[in-house]
Amino acid sequence: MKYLYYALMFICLMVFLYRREDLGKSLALLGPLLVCSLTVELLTDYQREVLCIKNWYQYHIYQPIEYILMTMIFYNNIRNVLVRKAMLWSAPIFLTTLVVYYSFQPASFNSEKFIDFQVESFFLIIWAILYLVEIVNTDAVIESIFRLPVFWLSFAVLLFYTGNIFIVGFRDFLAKYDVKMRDTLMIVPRCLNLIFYLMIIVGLLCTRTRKKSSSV
Amino acid sequence: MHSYPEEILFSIILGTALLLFFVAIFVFVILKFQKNQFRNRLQQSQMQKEYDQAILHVQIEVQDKTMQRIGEELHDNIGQLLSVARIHLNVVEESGIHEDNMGAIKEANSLIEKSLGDLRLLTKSLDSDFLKDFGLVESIGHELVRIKNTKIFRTDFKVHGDPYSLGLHHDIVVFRVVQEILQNSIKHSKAKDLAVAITFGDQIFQLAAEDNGCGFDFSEPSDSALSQSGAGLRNIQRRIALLGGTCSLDSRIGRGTRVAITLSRKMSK
Repeated sequence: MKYLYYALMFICLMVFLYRREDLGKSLALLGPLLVCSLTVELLTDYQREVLCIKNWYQYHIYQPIEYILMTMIFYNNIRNVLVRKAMLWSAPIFLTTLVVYYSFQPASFNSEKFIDFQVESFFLIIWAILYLVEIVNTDAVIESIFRLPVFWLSFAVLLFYTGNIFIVGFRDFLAKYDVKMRDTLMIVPRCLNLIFYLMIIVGLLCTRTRKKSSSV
Repeated sequence: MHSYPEEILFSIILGTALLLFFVAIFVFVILKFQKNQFRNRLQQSQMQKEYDQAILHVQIEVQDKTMQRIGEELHDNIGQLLSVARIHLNVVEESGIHEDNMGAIKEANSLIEKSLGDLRLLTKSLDSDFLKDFGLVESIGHELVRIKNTKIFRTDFKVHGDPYSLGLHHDIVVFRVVQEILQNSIKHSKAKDLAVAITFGDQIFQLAAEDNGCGFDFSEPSDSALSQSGAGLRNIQRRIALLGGTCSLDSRIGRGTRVAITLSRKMSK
């Protein structure tokens, strides 16, 4: 499953690079996001397999970067002024909260406690829902909702973060009382990871190809 | 202690429940989106129709005012000059001084009289107030008389049923369309006979204009006269469509051309 996960991430990045001109500026930040994601996973794997070190700090560094990039993608695709303002303000608030938290709990920075993931998930789920509400209620005539890559991204975010916000929270509880159950439960986030990248690939491929105009 | 299969089962159930939940949300979003998009397309189509109607209205108004202006200029300037020229020629004719040139003078006088008559007919044809005062049948009849007076064409005009007005706006559009059809026939068809037939039905208004000219083939766009005529005919079809009517065209090489217009009496009110 690990190799399938890496393959999907890599394919996602390749498809993004191939279709980047058709995607336009609104999804330009998806590329850096995918690169960061791939880098963090490869680094973690290298540390565990080669260096035999079990570190978590790279995820805690990656979390705010992921949040900012994701939020900016939604920011570029939502028209509601109030929602955009909330998105802009949420980034510095999120960063400040994390800095304050890790200042008081430095040990958590290299632990499996993903408070930052929980907070990030909460906001990203809200942005995804708001985007879907906006696109469903739009006055514009849209050929097909399936040709909007951000639609697929929103659903991927909803599925992945809603599933994981529950399981990550539940996992810490189970770690104290039933370790076996906890380990088995971690299959679900791995599956959600695969579905997440699969949906993004579908979204990138479904985008209409921009016709090239020829100058006379 | 929980047994291993129970944990797997729990994870599967949890995963499946999550997936089903999101499938339900997915389906709901798609259905809501499609419903809203249907409403948006309907609104867009309605707005487009209103816009086209407004553009047509403006076009007709501008065309009418231009024609009225041209008619007034013709009457006030050219008409007056021709009248003055005729008066001078009458004086010369009555004086009897230039007996050798009397034939030429009488001929010139006759030509000017004919020009004045044609000018009056043309002015009435351009003036939509004539249509307002005398109605569609009179106006079309008048137009055919004007063409017949050129002595190049034979015209025929038939009216079936009791004439009524389609509304001034519709009457003007139909009249201008008939003028355009007749002009097309005169310029391009090499016809000798032009016929117009109107049927005033209880629910339906029908008008057919035909000529016995050379006809044309739609699949031959290379002829510039044909393409101009084709553009005019498409314009006619578009204008009648905006009135809620239909315009059909039947033309074959060597068999003449027939244009038939159908309008619902209800839609014209």
